[in-house]
Amino acid sequence: MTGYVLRRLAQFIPVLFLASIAVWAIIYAAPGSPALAYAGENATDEQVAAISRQMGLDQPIYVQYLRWLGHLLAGDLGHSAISGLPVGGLLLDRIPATIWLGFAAVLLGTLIGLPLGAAQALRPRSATARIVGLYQSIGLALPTFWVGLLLALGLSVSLHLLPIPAQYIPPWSAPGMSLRHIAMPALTIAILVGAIVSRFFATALGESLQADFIRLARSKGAPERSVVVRHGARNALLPTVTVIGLQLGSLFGGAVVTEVVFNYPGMGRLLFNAVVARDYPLVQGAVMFIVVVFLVLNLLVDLLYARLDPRVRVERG
Amino acid sequence: MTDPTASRISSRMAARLLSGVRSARAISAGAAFLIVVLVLSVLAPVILPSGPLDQTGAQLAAPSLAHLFGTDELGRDILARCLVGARSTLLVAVVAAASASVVGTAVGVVAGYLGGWIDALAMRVIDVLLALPSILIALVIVALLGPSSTNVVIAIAIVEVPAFARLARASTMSLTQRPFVEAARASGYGRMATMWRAILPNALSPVAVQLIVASASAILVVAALSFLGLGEQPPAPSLGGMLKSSQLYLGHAPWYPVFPGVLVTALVAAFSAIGTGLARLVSDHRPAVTAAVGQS
Repeated sequence: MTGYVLRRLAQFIPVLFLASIAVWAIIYAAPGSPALAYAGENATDEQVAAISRQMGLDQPIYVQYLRWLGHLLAGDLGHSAISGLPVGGLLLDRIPATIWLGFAAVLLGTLIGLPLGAAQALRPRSATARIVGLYQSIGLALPTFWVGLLLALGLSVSLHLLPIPAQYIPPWSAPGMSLRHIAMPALTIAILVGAIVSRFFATALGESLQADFIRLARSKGAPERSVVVRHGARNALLPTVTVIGLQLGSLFGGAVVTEVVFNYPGMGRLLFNAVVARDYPLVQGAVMFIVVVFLVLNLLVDLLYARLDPRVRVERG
Repeated sequence: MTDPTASRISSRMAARLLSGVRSARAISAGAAFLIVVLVLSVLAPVILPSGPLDQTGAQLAAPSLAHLFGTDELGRDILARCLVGARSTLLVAVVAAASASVVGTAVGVVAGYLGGWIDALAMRVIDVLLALPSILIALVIVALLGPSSTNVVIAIAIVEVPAFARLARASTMSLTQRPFVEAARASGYGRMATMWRAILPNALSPVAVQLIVASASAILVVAALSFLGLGEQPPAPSLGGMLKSSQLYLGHAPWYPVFPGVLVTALVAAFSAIGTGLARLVSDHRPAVTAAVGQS
């Protein structure tokens, strides 16, 4: 296990390093001088000159990168070019809302996906399996923002059941209100997540029920229920957990489109607003943050998987 | 007396045949839908009374015989705008997927054949691209380059490169061990010639399937970017742009978001059906669910 952890870390660090170069380069791809992009359009000449000195724009390019990396590692993500507020603080403010949405969406998607996947795998030729298959095909083809629009149209505009825009209310302060606000954005994403989870779980369960150990369990006379649940489903859950973890990782980086539809104050909308306002320091900070979160969660999912399934440690090397 | 083995074999053959028939049916249904949409969008100026930019009739009118899908906030025919929007969406998505397939396949074959540091570097860059939800990468790239259809093509092409590179690399690495590749080298082919003549032609069938799958996910990203206001710029119609405007009039015109959304979904589903069908024919396996991951 230690060897696997080390190998996986050795893979993780270069990716993080390359990603940091890509994020740093964003500012050089911006139109105009990088100092101007950092200072914002309303900055005075002195401010631009000061930032230019601070960034070391007269120095060789690798010095500029190392300076930036140094600030980053010290936790200094710079200041927003629009509001002048520290980027780190702006990001931290959005974390609770982002985690709440990601968690609610993945939980709901898993609750939809697992039973449907099991139904499809256990009776592959039934009408139910066909309906689940149809849901998967359509669910994967639906644009999430359109699902969000239709939900808003039905549940909010017509029936006045749920509030829009969806605000972030900490679940521990007012659980009922919090759930009402998160319900539509979470369901919007969960329809997609449920389709992905059910398809993976159905495939994994189908394969696992063909395995030799299932035949052995049946021939020993184990009751069918326990064969399916204890032997089949348990093994099929492994790959499914990975998929769920990946979904969570990408959602913790912010669900841009869904957050924009519902005007929800998460990481995705922060990034979108920064992009539209050409607030480059904020774009850099947000993208770097999302990359780190996603890579760390990927790493954790892989390590968890290796912990649960000894074969992975050897095979994936 | 029937031979049990023979009957088992024939039932397996029947199952394969059935699966082949089903794949063929999925492929033809998907292709037929795409052809119908393309033909209608080309014929739109002839068969429809008003063009996508003409301000005819009332604003936000409900569907009627004159305007089958109703009219938008400026009194333009939604059907005409849907058809033109579908054509531009298809064009952008397919061009982006095709560009990604060329670049990704080249990277994958070269990395897989040469190995060493080139391979290591290429794979790490691809890991970075895979480390982010595709909509985020596309969003940042389009924001840097400026909103336009060309820049959407570039952004989506970059997002789709990793899938092609990984596929081509995997096929290349298994092909490199095969006798005919060794034979090519032994008969004096250089590196370039070996890759171009011996490996590439044999690595193409999974790439072709991926081209279709990538087009499906590209349509979703094109629609999402234009919904965010970063794609085709108004007044030119785009499916995502129409959905964005419809959001302001949900109370008055609940039918407005219906048709553009159905069209996006149907286009994606048509490509997915073709992709899944082809994948089954090529390898007897379903492709992994990759299209929709990270588009929320």
